[in-house]
Amino acid sequence: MATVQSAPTTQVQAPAVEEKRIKLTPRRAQILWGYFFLIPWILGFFLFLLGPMIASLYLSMTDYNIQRPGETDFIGTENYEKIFSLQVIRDSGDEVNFKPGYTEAFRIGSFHFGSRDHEVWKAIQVTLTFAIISLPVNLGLALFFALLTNTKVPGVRLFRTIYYLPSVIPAVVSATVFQQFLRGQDGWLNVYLLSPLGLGKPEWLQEPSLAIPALTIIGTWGIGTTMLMFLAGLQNVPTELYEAAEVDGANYWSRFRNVTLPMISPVILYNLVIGLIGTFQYFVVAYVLTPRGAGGNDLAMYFYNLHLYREAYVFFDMGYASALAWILFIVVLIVTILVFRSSSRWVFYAGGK
Amino acid sequence: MERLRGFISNDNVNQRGYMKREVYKVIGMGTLLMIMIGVATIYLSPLVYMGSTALKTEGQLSDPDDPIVPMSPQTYHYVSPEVETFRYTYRHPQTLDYQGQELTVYEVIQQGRIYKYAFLEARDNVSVFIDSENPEAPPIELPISVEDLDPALVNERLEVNLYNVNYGDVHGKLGLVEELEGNRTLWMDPEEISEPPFELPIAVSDAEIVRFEQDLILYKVPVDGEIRELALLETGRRGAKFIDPENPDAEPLELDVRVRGLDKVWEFDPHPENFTDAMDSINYFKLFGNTLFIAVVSGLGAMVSATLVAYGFTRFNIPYANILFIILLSTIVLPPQVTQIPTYIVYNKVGWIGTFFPLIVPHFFSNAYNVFLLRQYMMGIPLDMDEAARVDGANPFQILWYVIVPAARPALVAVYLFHFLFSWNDFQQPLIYLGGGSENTVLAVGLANFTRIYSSQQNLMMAAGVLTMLVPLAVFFFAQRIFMQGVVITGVEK
Repeated sequence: MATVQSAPTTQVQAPAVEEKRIKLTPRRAQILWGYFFLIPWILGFFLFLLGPMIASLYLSMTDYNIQRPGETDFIGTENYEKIFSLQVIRDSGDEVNFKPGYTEAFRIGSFHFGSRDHEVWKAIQVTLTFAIISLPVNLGLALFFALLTNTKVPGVRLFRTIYYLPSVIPAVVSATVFQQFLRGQDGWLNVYLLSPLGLGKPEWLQEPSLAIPALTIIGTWGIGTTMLMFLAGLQNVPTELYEAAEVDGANYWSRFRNVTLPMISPVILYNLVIGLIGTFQYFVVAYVLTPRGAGGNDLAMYFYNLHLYREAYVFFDMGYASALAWILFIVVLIVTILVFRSSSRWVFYAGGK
Repeated sequence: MERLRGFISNDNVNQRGYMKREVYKVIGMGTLLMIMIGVATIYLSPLVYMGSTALKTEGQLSDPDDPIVPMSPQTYHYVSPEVETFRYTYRHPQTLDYQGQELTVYEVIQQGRIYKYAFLEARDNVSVFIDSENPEAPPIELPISVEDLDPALVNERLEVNLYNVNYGDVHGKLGLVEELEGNRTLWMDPEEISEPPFELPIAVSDAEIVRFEQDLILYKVPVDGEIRELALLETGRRGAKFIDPENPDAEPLELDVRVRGLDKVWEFDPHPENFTDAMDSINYFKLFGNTLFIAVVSGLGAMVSATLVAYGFTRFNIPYANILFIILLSTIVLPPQVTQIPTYIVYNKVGWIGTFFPLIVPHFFSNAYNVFLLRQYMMGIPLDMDEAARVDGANPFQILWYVIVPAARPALVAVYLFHFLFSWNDFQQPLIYLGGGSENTVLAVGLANFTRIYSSQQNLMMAAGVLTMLVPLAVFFFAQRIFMQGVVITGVEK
């Protein structure tokens, strides 16, 4: 501790020493050292981020296939046009004939929609449905678990550990377990929980309409991280606020609505953004449950990222896959910006930021 | 104790109100506890399923009454008073009992028909026969020699008793065909019925008779108001026959019960050999080594690079530090798929596809989450420590090593462990860079392949799953506090 105290007196001599050697002022030396330590990130930024991003943007305008690199042509926005190609035909009772290269992607009412890549539309639909269903469920359940474990119940730390535990399990293992756990006839969920409650024995993984609910169930097994974030947020709410509310005669629900929710809204925003980014890149469980990412019955588990993976690394159409990746990036970016824009209305910063 | 005293001396109103509140509190806590236990049970049940299935045989799994814990129905080894028999067609020369004489019957062909004549005697160039179908008729004389005739064979259907015979080279279960004179016996082998019977110079009493033996499943059967453990012998149209293991020689009990409604008597019967089977099938030790190597080395890269960058951001007043840091953070939004394709093409060009380099090298260039965590932590380390070190002539590296690293150790450990876990659990990157094969890959990909190929063998799949998550679970249990707090500091576990 003696050295710490003597620091101010000796520091005065330091500049003189530096000046003698080279014309490097301590300020400049500091800046150079600072940038020197940033080298890993700066290098990585150019080598693994900016460089590949530019390359990927260029690739997305070619028909590059890694098995036929010699035949690559610059095709402009053709890949993007293929992704968004859509032809609408009204059902007139006759046979529906799309333009050459177009196949039916989906239909709404009496309108048939054809596309040159009908799988991408299915993938977008599956991914968005999953995001809309799974995200609120996960956030709500994680908040509920956080509220449960923010009490003074005996053994609360053990419960926290149990709820968090599945989050450290590899996604492949979760998928493998739930493949059995959700089986129709002898899966434990049906046998020990749903069937005794009179809810029957649904074929979670075979029935296309149950695919997204099944994946949502699997997803709730790994909400430990979200729960801990909420828990930290809850523990940062000053107790005086609750006491004040109680004096005003607020019941539990109104305390939750008017104190807890606003106070943890920054955490909700954070979890929402991270959850969105993760959902748009959903991959492992769907890949394992539908062997090699084929999408399962009726392509009910064919996620956008599976489509991208298959185009890039199964068919090696890397030009087209790059276009898919850029669409993904732009969508994630737009959604993130929208969420942040909207956050000024519902996120409350206690510090008044 | 405080609470108890409140209950005992409730002599004024204040204390009564206090008591009421306490009761509500206890009820509330109880409800909460019930909910939490319920949720915990649901959350743990997939793990319980995994553990128990990994220890079962396929036979146990296909039992419709299969309990949660790996158990097998207890059986009773039943030796019945009945003797085990064998239906045997004994083919032997036909004989005819004629006036106290045993005559051999021959097949005699006359005018295209076969007659069965018993040979009586040979007389000057003729043989004398008795018609076996009509022994009362006068003997027939024919000008043929017996040596030119075939003896007539007869099929006799016998139900022979089985004996355990142990004589010379002959061992095993044999059927007794006939007792012969002079302690000799004729035997047949039930496993080689086409062979003729053979003689052994032993008496029947030298062999041990084989009794009807069977492993019978034990059931809990209500008999006269009490539950008894009985072995099911056979199921009839109405009711079933049971053997009482305590009194096996008694007649089987015929009870009017529905066997399907009865509980079996279970005994704990785990099969840990599933784990070694699964290990052999996924080439476990090789994949384990690969996964460990990648996780350890890339974790080192992630920790060291993030430390350097965070140190650069927090300890040097560099211009535009804030803008750079915002750029760093915003890279979180970029989906890795965007950069993956060009980097894949480059890796392919330099021959890195199929090697561990793409899974290790990029981590030496720091990552936004880790830098963020370490920056937050380092900002909390007081500046006067490094000032003092600088005054003592320490260069920035020495300050980092002797001041910052020791002070930031908890955060460094958290970064390392999180990366280790991320790397161990990662699936998509090894799948892309090492290919979907099972040879030189990591455990996660190996397990996915195994799951696809052995999808009918749940027990082996679950054993392989347990083997894959063993290390993450161990890391979690040993470093639980670092994890649960680190999550909150890092914000995310990637």
